[in-house]
Amino acid sequence: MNTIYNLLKKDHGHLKWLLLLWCVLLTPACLIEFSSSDVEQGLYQIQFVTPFIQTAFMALIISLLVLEEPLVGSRGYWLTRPILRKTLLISKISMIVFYFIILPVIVEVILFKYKGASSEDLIDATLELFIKQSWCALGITALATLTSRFKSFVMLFAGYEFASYAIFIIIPRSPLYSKTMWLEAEYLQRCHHFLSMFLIILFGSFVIYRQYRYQKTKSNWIILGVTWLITILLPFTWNKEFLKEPSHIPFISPQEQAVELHFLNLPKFTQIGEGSDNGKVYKTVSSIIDKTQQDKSSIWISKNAQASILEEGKNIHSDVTKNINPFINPLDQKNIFEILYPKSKLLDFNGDLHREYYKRISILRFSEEEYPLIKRKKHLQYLGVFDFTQYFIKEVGRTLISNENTIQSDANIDTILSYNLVEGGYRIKIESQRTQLAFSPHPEKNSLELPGIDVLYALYNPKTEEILAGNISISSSSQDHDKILKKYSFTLSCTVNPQTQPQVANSLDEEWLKNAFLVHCRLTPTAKTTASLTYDDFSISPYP
Amino acid sequence: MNLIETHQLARRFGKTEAVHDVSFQVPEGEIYALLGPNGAGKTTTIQMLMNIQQPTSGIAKVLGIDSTNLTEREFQKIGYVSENLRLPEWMTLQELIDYFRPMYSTWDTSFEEALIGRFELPLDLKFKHLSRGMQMKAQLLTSLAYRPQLIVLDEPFSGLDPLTRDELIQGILELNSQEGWSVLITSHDLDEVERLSDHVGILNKGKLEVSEEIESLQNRVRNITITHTENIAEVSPPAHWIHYQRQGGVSRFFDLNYQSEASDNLYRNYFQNPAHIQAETLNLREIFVELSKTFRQPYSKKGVLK
Repeated sequence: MNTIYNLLKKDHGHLKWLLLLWCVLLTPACLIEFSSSDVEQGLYQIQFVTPFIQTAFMALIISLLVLEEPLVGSRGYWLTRPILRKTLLISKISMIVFYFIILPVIVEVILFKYKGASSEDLIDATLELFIKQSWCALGITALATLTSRFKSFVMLFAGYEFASYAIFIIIPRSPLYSKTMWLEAEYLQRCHHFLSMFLIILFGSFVIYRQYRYQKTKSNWIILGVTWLITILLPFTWNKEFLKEPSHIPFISPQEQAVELHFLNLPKFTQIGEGSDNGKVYKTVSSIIDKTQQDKSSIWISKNAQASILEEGKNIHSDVTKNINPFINPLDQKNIFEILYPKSKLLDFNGDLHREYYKRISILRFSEEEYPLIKRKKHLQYLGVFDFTQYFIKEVGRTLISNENTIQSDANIDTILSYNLVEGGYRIKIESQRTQLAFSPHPEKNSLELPGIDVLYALYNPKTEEILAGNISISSSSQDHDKILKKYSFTLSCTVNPQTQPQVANSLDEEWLKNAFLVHCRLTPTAKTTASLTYDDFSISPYP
Repeated sequence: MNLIETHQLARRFGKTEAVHDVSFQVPEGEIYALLGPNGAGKTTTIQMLMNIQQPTSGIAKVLGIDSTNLTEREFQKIGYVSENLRLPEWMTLQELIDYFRPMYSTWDTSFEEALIGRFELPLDLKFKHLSRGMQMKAQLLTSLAYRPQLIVLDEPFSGLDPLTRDELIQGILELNSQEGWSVLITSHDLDEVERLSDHVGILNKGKLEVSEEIESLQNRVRNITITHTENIAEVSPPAHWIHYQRQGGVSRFFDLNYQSEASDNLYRNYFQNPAHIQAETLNLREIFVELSKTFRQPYSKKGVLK
């Protein structure tokens, strides 16, 4: 115990400044969470760089720590000192575990807690983070123990990174890679880690062989034999795990599905990209599942989840409320929707699940020919087919399209956070998660009565399926439009015409507003708008 | 009691035999010097004794324990200094002492202070700023302060200036006489070794050619000059006469097995009652040089002596 303490004291003395810097490096994520909005943007940029810096730092500190008492070679001063290898191992591993596994996990867990994750989720997340951090820290430790000098370590680390990158490139990709890349990234990541591990073991066994080939002791032969056996068997397990096709894929009918989709506010918003492969179209509609706000049987999708559709000849960006409706017909058998999410809990795609914590899902559209192929992907979890028609009609499908289909809309829905009845209307505080609100350059013209309007607003209550489309205008608003993820305050003057909207007029009260969303719709300049747009004009038209 | 004892110790690196059947003993309280040219296997032998490398075959016992089983208990009693060891460069001597002190139950603080004074070592300078000589002294200090039973010094004088060498030798000699410590030392510096050692072993290409007391070696190996008549027949010298040369009436050689009276009788027989026999005593350096000449035999392709 005394020697362990002694070693720890010495190593802390040696690496105190680097360890301090390491602790500082762990803070950007915290700062983003807790900082004021002014510095948030800058820190957000830093967050992209920090994982690389953190890895480099981790490699530097661990290598210095391990190479202080190198296990390889005959030049270590400690070799003839009363230091047991076991003691050395305990001391070094305890430092590595504390600084490079426990500390980062604690920081992340605190962040999750701050984000409102439940205890159950925290346990899940802790386990995932623990495995991920361990993989990284202990992998570097393994590389460091195979070398006797820092120079050798740097060369080995660089060689390892290069080789693993090369492996990553040559990993066979499925024909549907371009469509499912967001999901397959995780599969590739696993392959990458797996092959990297193979590389480490291969190299390690070579070093062991070099070290001990002249020592024909029984234990050395056993170590060597086991290492080689693992090295030989590893590719076989890889084949078995990743390449074998599943024999059965469970099918959940739309009626049985225990998944509900709701549009709700979420604390964080992640934009997912889009792409195409050699001109072929693919589309992802991705969102965040906020586990903190879901009950066991539901998946919640952010109402502002970004989606992108790339059709041949068209390049249309829209939000989920729109693209589901006019462009995709889920009942058309040529387009089959599935919701898929990474099955493995170890690592998400890009290997940074722990950063966001929220599970991502992707809604992918496949052709009839592609569908059997995608069903064979073992690493993707099939959740079921959703009847989007019913769903969107019921919950969202009030795309604001005129009855003559001449107005194209870009509808957004914001949640009303609070409201107060004031003179002339309700003062409504809204939370918006879009980078920009669709403000008209002439807010005073935001009225249905005026021709050529740019933006119109309505209040929509999905429970009663009523839309308040009377005289709604913005009388004032906060000016921090350029801030992201900010809350906006509006005062809306709502005047309900009892003649045109008798139901709304009767039911417009606090209870109605409690369940209402602010719907705002950007209208195209060619919109055929007249002063007489009424409630009927907001038709429920899932398919134009 | 022998503190070090090896029996047919061998170490192979692939097809190269670095150490071949080496057997020697270091008795308690004695200073044993292991000599040999570069690549003779001195460091490999010592590393096997210190359990840094494991022998391919044979046995090495240190403090009565198989060297491959040396644990921290034995290392409490062994002081090992080597030019090959790397001290933590970021540390100061004071930090190194503070680090090592709790590891040794027999650490003698007053002795430590005495050694610091004797070696004139700066306590607050980092090792990376210390000269090689200073670093060796620091190693020696941290290997002696706990009063080990056995001190193993692997090339301790290399890179040191003569003054520092002298100080080191003086220190080791004093400690040996005062404390009765046993020392195993390897070195190229034969003059220093001669001053220091009681026993000597000469390694050549992995083989221990000589292992005996220095005094006995000096008595045994003599530079012989014999003056005789010119007309005697050419003699065929026995194996223990090396570098035999005859110039007219004078024959010169080194006798590796000189035994005063018996050897004189042998010379008289060979050289038919020579006029004069001179058996000159050699110092360790001269013995080593002459022996080394005989070691120069051709290598086989496998690197093993033919």
